[in-house]
Amino acid sequence: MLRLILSRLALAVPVLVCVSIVAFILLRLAPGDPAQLQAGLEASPDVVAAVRHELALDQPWPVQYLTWAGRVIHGDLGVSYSTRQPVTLLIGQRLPVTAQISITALILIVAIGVPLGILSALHKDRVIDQTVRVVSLFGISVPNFVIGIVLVLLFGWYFPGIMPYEGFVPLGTDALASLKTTALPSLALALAQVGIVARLTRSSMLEVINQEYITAARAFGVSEREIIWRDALRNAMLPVLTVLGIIAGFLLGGSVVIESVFGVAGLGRLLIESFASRDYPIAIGVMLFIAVVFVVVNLIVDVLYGVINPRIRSGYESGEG
Amino acid sequence: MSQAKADTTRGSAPPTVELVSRSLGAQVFFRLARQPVSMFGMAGVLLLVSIALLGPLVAPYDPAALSPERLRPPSTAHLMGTENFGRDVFSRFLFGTRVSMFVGLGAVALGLTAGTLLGMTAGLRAGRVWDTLIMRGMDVVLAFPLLVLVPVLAGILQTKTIQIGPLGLNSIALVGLAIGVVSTPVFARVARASVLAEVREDYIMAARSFGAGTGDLLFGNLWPNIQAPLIVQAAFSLAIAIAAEAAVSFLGLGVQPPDSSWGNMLADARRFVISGAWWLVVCPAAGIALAVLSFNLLGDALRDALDPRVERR
Repeated sequence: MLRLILSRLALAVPVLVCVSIVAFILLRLAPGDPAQLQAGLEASPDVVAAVRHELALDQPWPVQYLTWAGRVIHGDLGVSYSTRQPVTLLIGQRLPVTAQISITALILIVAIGVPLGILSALHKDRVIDQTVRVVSLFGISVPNFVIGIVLVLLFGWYFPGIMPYEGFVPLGTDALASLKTTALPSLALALAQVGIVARLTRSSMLEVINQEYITAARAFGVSEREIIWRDALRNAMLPVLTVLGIIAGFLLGGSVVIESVFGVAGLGRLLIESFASRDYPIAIGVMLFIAVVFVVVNLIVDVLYGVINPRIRSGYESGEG
Repeated sequence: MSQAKADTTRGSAPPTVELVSRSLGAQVFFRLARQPVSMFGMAGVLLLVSIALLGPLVAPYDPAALSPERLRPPSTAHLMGTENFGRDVFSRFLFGTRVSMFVGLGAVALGLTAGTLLGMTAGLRAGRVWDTLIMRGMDVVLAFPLLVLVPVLAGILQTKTIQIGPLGLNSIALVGLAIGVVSTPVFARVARASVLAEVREDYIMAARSFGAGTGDLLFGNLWPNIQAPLIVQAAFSLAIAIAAEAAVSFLGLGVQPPDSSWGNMLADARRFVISGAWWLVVCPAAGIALAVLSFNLLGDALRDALDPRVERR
């Protein structure tokens, strides 16, 4: 297991280095001069040059990159151009917001999607199944921010005062109010993915139920309840687990848009704002951070996969994986 | 592929005579036409393409024309009401459909072409430097969530017009370009995997022994045999591309006003839904939902129709 984790991490490092280089170059290719923006649009060329020197933007790109990368190795993502605050501090401030919304969404996805999928599989081709399938198809087809705007319309205009549709209250300040502010953004993020999980659970349950060992278990007189919950579900969850890793990535990306819909100051807003102000250290810091989370989440999924399915684990351990 | 051959020889499902004489395209069409769900998908795509092509001709107003009648609910004069600058929402929707469909189709055409070429050549040189270079490059693109990379690319490209030689690229083309880049890796992976499955087949060895060049191998021999999964992927990618355009434009980093797209119409709508302007939401939201749904259904149906193993359901 440890070998699997280490080899995966070793593979991830070059990808992350490339990610940082690509992000670095892309940002500097963008039109707009951060020195000019910081100095003010009416600043004299001398002042702009001074700011440019102060931000070290007058050095060649490779020098800028290596200086930055050297600091990153020591856990320092640099300082924001505009607020002069450390980027790690800014990420630390915004991360809990995004994390709370994403994790709530993930819980909603599993709590709604998996039971719907099982229900659908157990009542294959009957009314419940058809309904679940149609609803999940629509869920998949409506992007999360569209659902978000509809939720804002519903709770901002038609049913005002029930649920907050704007802003965010930190968990430490008021737990209940905090969960309330997370509810609508999480729901908007979750609904689109619920359909995917429900569909996948359904098809994977159906596949497992038709396997010989399930028939064998039935023949031995194991109760249907035990078959479904102990034997079938455990195996049917494998593909669902993989897709949950992908979904976790989607949630991070999706929160970029959802935070704009609900006016929540999370990581996504930070990223979008940093593009607008050409605040390179924030932009590249957040992008790198998201890429790292993405890699780690997929690693966790791989490990969990091994925990659930011993065959894969032994494959890795004997070096065949 | 080899499985498919095995299945037909086993003859699990007797092939119908009528299908044999038809071309692959016709076969696929008739298989699609047999399922109501895929018909719905095809009808949706057809409707949206018609709106994209003909919409601007039937639009009652100039989509950019301002008027003093601001934020009016739907009426006979303005079918879908007016927005905050008094522009006709229905006309903006008709033009926006053209923009959104153009971005989606353009992006996927780009991703399909680039990804297929890269993936096929990588597959043909599997294990060599070119292969490693291409596929690790694709990993880098995939390491960013779609909605992080597209805004960055579009934000970078976001100037009013970029002049490349005689070609002026506006924000619409640039968003298409950005989404095209992001949708490339999927096609590269599918193409590479398909090529890897095919290169060991006898007909490729035969072609090689006759001295076929790389170009002949790629387009003469390999492409006809690997196109099915790529076409299916194209349908799904279209759904993703259209949703991505909407999201990026919604963030203000995509299609720029005065051009309208489903995404930037919703961005305008966001500010006024709190005061109950539902009509700003209906059309663009329905457009996005219908497009994504239709292309997803089409993808599902194509996957079944193009798979020779699924003769009857």
